[in-house]
Parts: sequence; C-alpha cells; structure tokens
Amino acid sequence: MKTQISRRWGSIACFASAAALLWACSPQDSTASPNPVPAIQATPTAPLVSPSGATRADPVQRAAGTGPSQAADAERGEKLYKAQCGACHSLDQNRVGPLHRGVVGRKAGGVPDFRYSPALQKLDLVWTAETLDTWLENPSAVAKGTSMGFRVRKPEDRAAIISFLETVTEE
Amino acid sequence: MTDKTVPLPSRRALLGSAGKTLSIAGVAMMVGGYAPRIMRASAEELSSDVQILNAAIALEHEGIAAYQIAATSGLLDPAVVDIGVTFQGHHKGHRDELVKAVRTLGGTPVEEKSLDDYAKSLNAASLTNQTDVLKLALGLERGAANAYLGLIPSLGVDFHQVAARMAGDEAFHAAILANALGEPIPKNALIFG
Ligand code: HEC
Repeated sequence: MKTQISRRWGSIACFASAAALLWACSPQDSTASPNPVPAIQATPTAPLVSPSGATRADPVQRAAGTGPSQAADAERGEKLYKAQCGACHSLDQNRVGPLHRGVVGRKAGGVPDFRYSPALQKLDLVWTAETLDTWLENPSAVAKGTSMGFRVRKPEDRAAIISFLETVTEE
Repeated sequence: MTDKTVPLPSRRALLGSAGKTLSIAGVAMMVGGYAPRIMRASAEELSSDVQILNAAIALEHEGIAAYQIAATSGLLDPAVVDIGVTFQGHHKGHRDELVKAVRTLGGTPVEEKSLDDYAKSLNAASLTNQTDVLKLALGLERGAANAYLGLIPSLGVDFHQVAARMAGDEAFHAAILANALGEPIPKNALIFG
C-alpha cells in the first residue's frame, strides 16, 4: 500500500509518518519553484491554518466588542473565514456565494451580478453584527429556502468571523 | 403534522433509508407514485434541499475546474498532475451524485460556468509554481470538507450521510495536499468542522 502510494506520488507522496521525513520529502523536484523548501516551511504560520482552532492555543476569552480583544478576534476570524467560508466565498469575487467585501452595512442580496436565490432576493434586511450572527447560526431560519446551508455552531466563532468581516470594508 | 408536511417516515421511504447511499433510480420510480403529495406537501422543504444541494454542485463545478486549470497550467510535475486528475475524478463523482439527487427532488441542477470564469474568480493568473497550485488546491479542499460538514444540519436527513461521505473525500484530499506541502500534522482532534 505504502509502496504503491509512494510510487504514484513520486516526490509528492512521502506518506511516511515521521514529521522529519515529511520535511525532507517536500516537493523538492518542483522544477518551477527554485527554492521550495524554505517557502514550504513557512506554511505552518501562513493563513491556511487548520480550521476550528485545531492549531490555536488560545481558548475563547473575548469580551464582545472591546478594543484589543476585538483585533485578536478579527485575526482569528480571518483564519476561520478562510477555512470555513473559503470554499464558497471570497472577499472580491463572486463564487458559489457572493463576494464579501463591504458586506457589513449592505442590504441582503445586494451584490450586483450575483444570482441570489428567490429567498435572498426578497429578504428585506441589512447585514449588521446582529443579523449576521443569526444568519450564520442558521441561514434558513433567516431566509427559508436560501441556498446557503452552512452553519457556524459556536457563538464565539461567529463573533470572530463577524469581527473580521467588519474590517473588510469597501476601498 | 398538518397536511402541509410530509411525515418524515414517508419522505424517508421515498428517498431511500438514511443508512444507504441514495439509490436514485429506485427512488425515482417510487417518487412517481407519490408525486402529487410531494408537490403539494413538502415543496418548501424539498426546495430548500434543492437550493443547498445546488450550492454544493456549484462548489464541485469549481473544484473540477480548479483541477483542470492546475493540470493544464504547465506548473506541475507529471506525477502531481496524475494525482490531481484522480482527485478531479472524485469531484466529478460528487457532482454526478448531487445532480441525481437534485433531479430526483424535481429541481434543476445548476450549470457549470466557463473555465475562464473560474480562472478569474480563483485568481489563477497569480499562480507561478507548483507550491502555489498545491496551496490553492489545499485551501479549496479544506474549505470543502468544512463546507459539507457545516451544511449537514441544514439538509434533510436523507442527505446527511452523502454529505458526510463527501466531506470525508475532501478531507482525504486535504490531508494528501497538506502532506505534500510539508504542513505539520494537526495536534488536536476534530480537525474539520
Ligand atoms: C457551501 C457554500 C457556502 C459556504 C461554506 C458559506 N456560504 Fe455564505 N453563501 C452561500 C451562498 C450560495 C449564498 C447565497 C445565498 C442565497 O442566494 O440564498 C451565500 C450568502 C451569504 C451571505 C449573504 C450575502 C449577501 O450579499 O446578501 C452572507 C453574509 C454569507 N453567505 C456569509 C458566509 C460566511 C461568513 C460563511 C462562513 C462562515 C459562509 N457564508 C459560508 C454559500 C456558502
């Protein structure tokens, strides 16, 4: 099994379990990347961190809406946003879901060129911290028949994501 | 239970028991017999599933396109292209399964966009080497695993297992890609969701 995978993967496979080995067999023969090893070692701290706090040491100890913890929250929120919303949303491109830059303060269903579901088209609501919180808890409770089924279960995760969205204003 | 709602057991019977992979052909035959009742009764619930499943189809279309763009980018080692094409095949399998489910519910599956559209919305122009491509793929796969897990509570129970199975596939892809990029193995449990 292991041999088979390794054979198929070539340099990419390296399915041995020791972390040391993993470093050693990072894609060195990626011809297009002249110096891949340092670049790759930098990735653990890069934005694509494990979702849902798997790699985060700090437990939730934020007080809603207070200065420094709000900034920390937005930072945590950005990671959560990438991991949880990133399959469907981007800040500046319509994808499966509408783009998010400037969403706080915008009318629901308000991104031009995005094809919303009928449920969202007729939803009469402005996105605020509060409305976003109920939306992320259960979108279909806000707009029955919406095409967004994704829910964020933990209130503190919703708060962090919303803090982040508050920072991504229109340029 | 008002007559506006189909009682759960009968909906279950229609859509196949939750413990099985959706056996769409059989379901479609059964749906025929019950059609008037379904249309009248649980149209709302069914259409909510259709909407959500269609968003999942859109996600799979994008994944298929991303691997297409990657495979033809000229940035990847042949061995990596091979893996990418295999993963793309899994996404096509997901798409097909979801398309069948949407049709069975009487919905219209969402169409794919052009490859150019996907290249633009994924910012493919910024990819300059294999590592860039692997990182993009990892972000999408990790996001997709989380996305499927996060939409389970919004879906009708008949689709819980199929969504979980898709999340499993995406997590498998993400693990391989993270490994290829040399990312450390997450220390804590419950890595996704
Ligand atoms: C599985 C794909 C998917 C995931 C994952 C997802 N969304 Fe969505 N989102 C959508 C779709 C599709 C819509 C459009 C809904 C409609 O038209 O009914 C949407 C709409 C929205 C809207 C309304 C925007 C507007 O312009 O009115 C907000 C806000 C939003 N999503 C936030 C989020 C956040 C924050 C996350 C992550 C925690 C997230 N979504 C995760 C698919 C997704």
